[in-house]
Amino acid sequence: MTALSPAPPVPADEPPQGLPLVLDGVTYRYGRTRSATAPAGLGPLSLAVGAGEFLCVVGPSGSGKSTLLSLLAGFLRPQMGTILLGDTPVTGPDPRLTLVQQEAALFPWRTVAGNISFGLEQRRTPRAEREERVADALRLVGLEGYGGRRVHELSGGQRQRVSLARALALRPRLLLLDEPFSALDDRTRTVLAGELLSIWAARRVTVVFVTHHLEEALALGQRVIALRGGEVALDAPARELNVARLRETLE
Amino acid sequence: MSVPAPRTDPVPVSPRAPRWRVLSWQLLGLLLLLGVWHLVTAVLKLYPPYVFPSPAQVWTEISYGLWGTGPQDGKLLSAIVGSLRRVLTGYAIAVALGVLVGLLMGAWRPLRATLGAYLTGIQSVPSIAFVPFAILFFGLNERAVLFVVILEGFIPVALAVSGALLNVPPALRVAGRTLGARGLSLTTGVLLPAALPNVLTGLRTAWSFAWRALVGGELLISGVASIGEQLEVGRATANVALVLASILIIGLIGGVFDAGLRALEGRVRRDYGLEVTP
Repeated sequence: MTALSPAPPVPADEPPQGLPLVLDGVTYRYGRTRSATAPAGLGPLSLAVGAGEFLCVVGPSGSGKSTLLSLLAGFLRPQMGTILLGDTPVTGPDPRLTLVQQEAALFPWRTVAGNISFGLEQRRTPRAEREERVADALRLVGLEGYGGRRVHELSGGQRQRVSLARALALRPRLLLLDEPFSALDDRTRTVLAGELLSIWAARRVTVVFVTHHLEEALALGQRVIALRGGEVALDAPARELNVARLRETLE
Repeated sequence: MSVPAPRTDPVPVSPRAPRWRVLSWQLLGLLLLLGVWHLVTAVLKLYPPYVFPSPAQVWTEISYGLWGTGPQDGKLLSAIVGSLRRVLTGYAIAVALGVLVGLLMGAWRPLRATLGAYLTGIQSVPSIAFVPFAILFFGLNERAVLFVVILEGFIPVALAVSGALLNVPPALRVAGRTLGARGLSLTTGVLLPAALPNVLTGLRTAWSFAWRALVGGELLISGVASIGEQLEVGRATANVALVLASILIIGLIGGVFDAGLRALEGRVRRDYGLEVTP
């Protein structure tokens, strides 16, 4: 990983944003329409992520990574068990958390600023604050002056930055990332990963980062869990792990 | 934080010829066509003028109809105004209705499976086949024409809207939901805008269907100022020049509107990054 640029200053009035996340016996099984390619489901899974912790989740296809994210994002509801974010359970799409997807999934009918502003509009944030937060988010991802651009004018890396800014503008307490850099070339991927770390360091949001890229998981996460067959096969601080160990666990 | 130098992606070169060149080809083709027409009718005189009049005779008919000052003149102008008013009213209602029904079909699968299939079936019935029913139901009046126009215009819009909604990339839907949009705000804020390029294609189809349906209906309903009526008057008075003039005007108006909608569609597709700017 390249040297990280210095973290942007945290506004003085901003406390650490992350909330602790606790999964207790969370289970999800897919229905009878199961085929060889259908996801295997998840759990029972119990897991505690500290406030402001950066957790990476690795695992092969079908290991339950996507199911876990869908559950955390509130798109699926656990059939058993509970998910607690702070003191309250996650029971559906939740304003306290946002998800950054593998594809940037930007809205092409909106400008860059319009994309970032979308979530704030849904929350009826007053215009003045909206503009301020959009500018803030653009600065955070290094895209100042790009607000008026059309989405199709951006490179792949810039799009993913906008996608990140769109999530950060909502000041989430939990940030979910689903292989956000996997569609990018190696160089851009490294740069963006570094930027993500410095944003995390500045905002102290709780992060769950899903990837199948083991080196990336080790470089980014404070803690790494490996999923296999819907269960946690390994859970350890990143500094105690290496790629060989992870690979061995996942085989 | 640094921004990498803007990537210089190779922009695919548009295979399209410059606009002026295309335009000059089209103009040349038109002149050639007029030349052949003139040759056949005015020079070689292969047909008597009351069977196949020359371009000049048709032009005379058009100019009398549009800006002549005699007692029988100017009828073409009021016919055009009447037809346009009728088709625009019908088209507006058809689009509003089509978007509404399309949204419902996009949101509720059983409705799409039933109504969607029926509408596809109805669409294959030529609009003129509905005119006798419309006349019996509404009487020999404008409402019968409007009914046919709305019916023909609404179906492609409804089908396009529901189809386009189903084709919205799942990632956009997920993005909208994770950013806090749900229900109606997800539909109006994400799904409909995402569907817009395909909806516009439907609007263009709807226009051409509505315009054809209008002329067909007007042919059978006399007594209201309309282009269809002019066709019928031309036939009844054996005025072939008037018939040809009406056909030309129908084609011209239809083409102008189609070009306008096509330009709008192209602009939206470029803004969405679906097409490389020529």
